[in-house]
Amino acid sequence: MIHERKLFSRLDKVKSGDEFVGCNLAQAVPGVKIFAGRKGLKFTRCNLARAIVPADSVIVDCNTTQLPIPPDVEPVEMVEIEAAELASLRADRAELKKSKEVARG
Amino acid sequence: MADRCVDGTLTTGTQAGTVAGAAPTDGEWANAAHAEANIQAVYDGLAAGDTLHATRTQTLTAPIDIDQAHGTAGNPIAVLGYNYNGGAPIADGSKYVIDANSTAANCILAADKDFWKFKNVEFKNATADNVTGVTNRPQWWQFVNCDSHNAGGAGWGTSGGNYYTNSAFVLCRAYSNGESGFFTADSYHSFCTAYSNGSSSPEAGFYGYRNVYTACVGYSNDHSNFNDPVYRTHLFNCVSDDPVTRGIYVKGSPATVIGSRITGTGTGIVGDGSADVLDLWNYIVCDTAPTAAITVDQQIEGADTRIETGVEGYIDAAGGNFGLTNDAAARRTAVAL
Repeated sequence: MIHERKLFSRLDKVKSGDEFVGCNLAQAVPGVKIFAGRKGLKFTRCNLARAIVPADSVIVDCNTTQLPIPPDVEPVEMVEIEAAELASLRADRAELKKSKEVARG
Repeated sequence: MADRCVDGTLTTGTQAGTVAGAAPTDGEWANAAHAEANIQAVYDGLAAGDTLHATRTQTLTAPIDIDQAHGTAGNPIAVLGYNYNGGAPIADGSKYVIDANSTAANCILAADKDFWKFKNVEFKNATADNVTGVTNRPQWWQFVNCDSHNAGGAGWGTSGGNYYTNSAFVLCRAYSNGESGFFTADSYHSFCTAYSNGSSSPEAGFYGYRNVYTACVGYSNDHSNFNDPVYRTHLFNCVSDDPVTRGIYVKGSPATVIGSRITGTGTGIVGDGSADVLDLWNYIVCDTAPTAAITVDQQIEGADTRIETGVEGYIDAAGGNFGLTNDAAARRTAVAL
């Protein structure tokens, strides 16, 4: 049987001798064994990131990395300061610095 | 600074690949930069207004760093893919391939550089995200007719520490990526497709913040086809079909989902319990429920605009063709003004 463009979570009834084309079988963490016990599987243009397939499988043009991926960045609200407001803040800071220098003598 | 050409399959030599005219001549292609030795230097040498003409497959051992120059609004730095065409390359929409070969963390790692444009390029097989930003968010980029697939992480993502923002994606596809297909913010996506993405979190075809999607198709993605978990999202004339759990997830208000087709497994539009959604002129026929946990306004002047019956009508959903047959419900819908 040929499984084409399927997600790992939607694959069932995988049997020995099956073929996978363009399937996404990536796993969340490295070293996850998938389809254990099946023989003669073939994977073409599949994403096998962090997955371990049976040793006798044929793998053609697949991503076979076992490296973990870095954690994703959460959004941070951007605060935009108008140019005039920025100039005003800079002027305030310069005045404060000057007054401190005067106070120090 | 100058335009350059590169042939991704050449692996020895030090040719500069200089291009004198608007496009490389066959003679200049014959003297294309030899990619294995020169690829980072080629990218480092590009300046605002330059174009890198590129063909065949570039196999990487490390990411291409975009960390030398900004383009400008009027003069972006362009990377344009060509069909090799037997040694006489032509720009016919065929893609120049950047293959991270399960070895490089990324295909493209953009370090706080803005105004670049990639056209006719395929990114694949990165151990993390195929395309991502570092140092700061890359802004004002354009990706046109680009594919990103089989990444260990996302097609376009944030594994480098920053996602793309204020950028445009046109006619791009993301598929079979370990995480989301597109992870972007404040960006425009037109005629883009995401499918079979997201076995790992964040799982979604299109994921991100405050994005606009026009005529985009998401199908068979893990978790959601479209997902904005924090702010607002806006969809017009899009298709969502057969997600694992939900078609569209929205949190911030107001979100708009207009003139779209939301079908198949799971729930159509899902919120966080407080999201306010303008759900107008949509065809929603989903296995679980049309909506959940949102406040929906689907009426205009007292008339319900949502369509929940009739022929789904995709030409070949299993084959990824979401064009509509003539008998499809809501193929044409009169809009009362």
